[in-house]
Amino acid sequence: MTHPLQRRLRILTLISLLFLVSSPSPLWAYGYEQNEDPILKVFKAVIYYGKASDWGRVQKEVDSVADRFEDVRKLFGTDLKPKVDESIRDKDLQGVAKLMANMVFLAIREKHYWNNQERLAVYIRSKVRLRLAEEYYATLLAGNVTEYDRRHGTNLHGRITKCFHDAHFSLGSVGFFGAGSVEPSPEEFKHLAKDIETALLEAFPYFDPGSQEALPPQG
Amino acid sequence: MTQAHKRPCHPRVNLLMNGLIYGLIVFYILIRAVLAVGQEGGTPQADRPPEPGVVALPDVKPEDFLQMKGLVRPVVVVREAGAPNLPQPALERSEGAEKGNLAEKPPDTQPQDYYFDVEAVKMKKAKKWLEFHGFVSMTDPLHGRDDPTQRKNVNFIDQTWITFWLGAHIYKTLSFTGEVDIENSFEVEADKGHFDWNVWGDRVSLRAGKFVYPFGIERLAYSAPFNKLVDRPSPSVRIIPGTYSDVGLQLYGTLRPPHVHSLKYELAVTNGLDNFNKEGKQEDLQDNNSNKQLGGRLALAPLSWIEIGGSYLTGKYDRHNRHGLYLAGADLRLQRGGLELRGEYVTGRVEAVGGDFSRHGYYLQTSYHHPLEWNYLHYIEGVIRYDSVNPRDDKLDGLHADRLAFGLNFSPRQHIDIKLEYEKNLQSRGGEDNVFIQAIFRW
Repeated sequence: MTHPLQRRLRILTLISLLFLVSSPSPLWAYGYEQNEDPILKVFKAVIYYGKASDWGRVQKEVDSVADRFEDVRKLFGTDLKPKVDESIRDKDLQGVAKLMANMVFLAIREKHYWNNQERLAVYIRSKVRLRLAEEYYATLLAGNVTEYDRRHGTNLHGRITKCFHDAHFSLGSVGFFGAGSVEPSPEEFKHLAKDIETALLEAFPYFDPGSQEALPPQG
Repeated sequence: MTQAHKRPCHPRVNLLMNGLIYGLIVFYILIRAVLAVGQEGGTPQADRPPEPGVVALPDVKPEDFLQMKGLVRPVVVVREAGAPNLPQPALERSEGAEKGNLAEKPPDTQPQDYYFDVEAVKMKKAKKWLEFHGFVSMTDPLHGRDDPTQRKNVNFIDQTWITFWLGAHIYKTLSFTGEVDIENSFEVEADKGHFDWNVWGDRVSLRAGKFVYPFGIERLAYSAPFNKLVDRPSPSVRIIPGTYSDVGLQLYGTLRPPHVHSLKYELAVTNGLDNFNKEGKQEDLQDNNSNKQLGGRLALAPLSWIEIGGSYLTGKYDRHNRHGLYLAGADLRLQRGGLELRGEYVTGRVEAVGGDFSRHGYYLQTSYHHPLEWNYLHYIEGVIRYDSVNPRDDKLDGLHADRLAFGLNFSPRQHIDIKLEYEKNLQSRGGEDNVFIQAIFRW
């Protein structure tokens, strides 16, 4: 015969599972902490050590994401790394920050590009890319966009935020093991991604946006 | 935290426990509702209000910026000779903008538009004032059973573990953390309940209450969602205080001296144990003697991916403050990408009525976490661990154990982890091989 406490434990477990299934999928949860993306980490470190005039450390941090610079160079034909190195040699924090911000913009473009290429076929992958692009924007660029809005009386930040919000819906859903799944809308995503990029270029007129379309693979 | 004996529940305890559980459920529902409203009510990202006066602009014109470091406006992209001839980008209006809902006239540029305000970058993640997490783990020994000192029975329901974790940021520098475990057929145990005061950033902090004793590194990964295998390393379970909670004060912090990544320190003064055995931890606020247990850990990270630590503990455990327990430990943790290597060695001396004895144990674990990001397979992880323990070197009582474990973990869905473990018992006498499966639901 089942102990009454064990019955209650089963009920409690079931309730917990229902909560999990209905959970709004927060970014954080009890478990392995998500490691911060290298771009986010390095950008913050560059500002921190740059302010402290520790240029050796700034160079080291930038070098640690050399592969990311190379990725966007291959994709969009924009090589920012030599310019960043030059700014570091000149001990020019403003120059480094602007180039790093440009790099962040290209990294956002890169996420959008691969989602467009795959036409959102793999939901989880598309979602991770979009989450990262949104995090790059919210953490590193949004503050400057807000300041731009204040100066010009525009609402670029609201526009970008809305696009990211809508882009999440355009990914569709895999449902719960297939039940309740929603097909993705690649065309809508492409359109929203383009709008985000256009708004960012408006807020940061000094950005090198790279080629309009990605370059063919280099040997 | 430790696997306690199964005991019959007193009716009052039963009532109290039910009240607590259902109270927690109601609390959880309320919190989720509040958080859901909070998420719908606004966009938490990038809502940093503009800070007037922060930007200190140099007296330059836009043209000056155009010449700086080759940075130019996108409409006038200048490239070095030999660079690919790329199409000129242009600001494009989106369809939504054309429809008028986002319509904005491209404004004239100002000198400030060519300046990147580094102060506007969010250097730290915004903290929520209240966070509520937890997990349910269900374990089933498919074959054999674990060490009898670690698991008293193999009843499926008794292997279910529920943890509720609560974190509250009371003030900018003051926070509270609480954790309640429900284990082994509704035994409720408060594992954590402490206040943390950041006295000087992350350099100096003070912790008061009940906390996991700062000895070794297994305490940072003992619970199911963090533990890469189903069961825990034997030294951490069978050598007190491998991982246990105690009441007291703790001083801790992270220093960043030059030429190294970080230096962490943790020092604790607690009530201590009342026994040198596994069941030696005391009830919450009780203390069987006047002696206080002292200990802590010092860890050096020469680089961001490697940490080497040393721990020490000393205290008297008996009522008359006569018999001491002394432990020392060394630990190592390396993490590069998805690859992790961790190991610990613990040794100690116990003063006892029947004669003093030594105890020691160690484990080495390596794992590789490969993110797949497929729809029903988020990641896959392989784990190997070797552990060895001898809780008493004065007796040949069969407590010595050497084990080799292999694990395979994967996640079919966000917040759900499945773990499989095969454990080979390498002891010459006694002990059998084990196979475990564990499902974890975490939020």
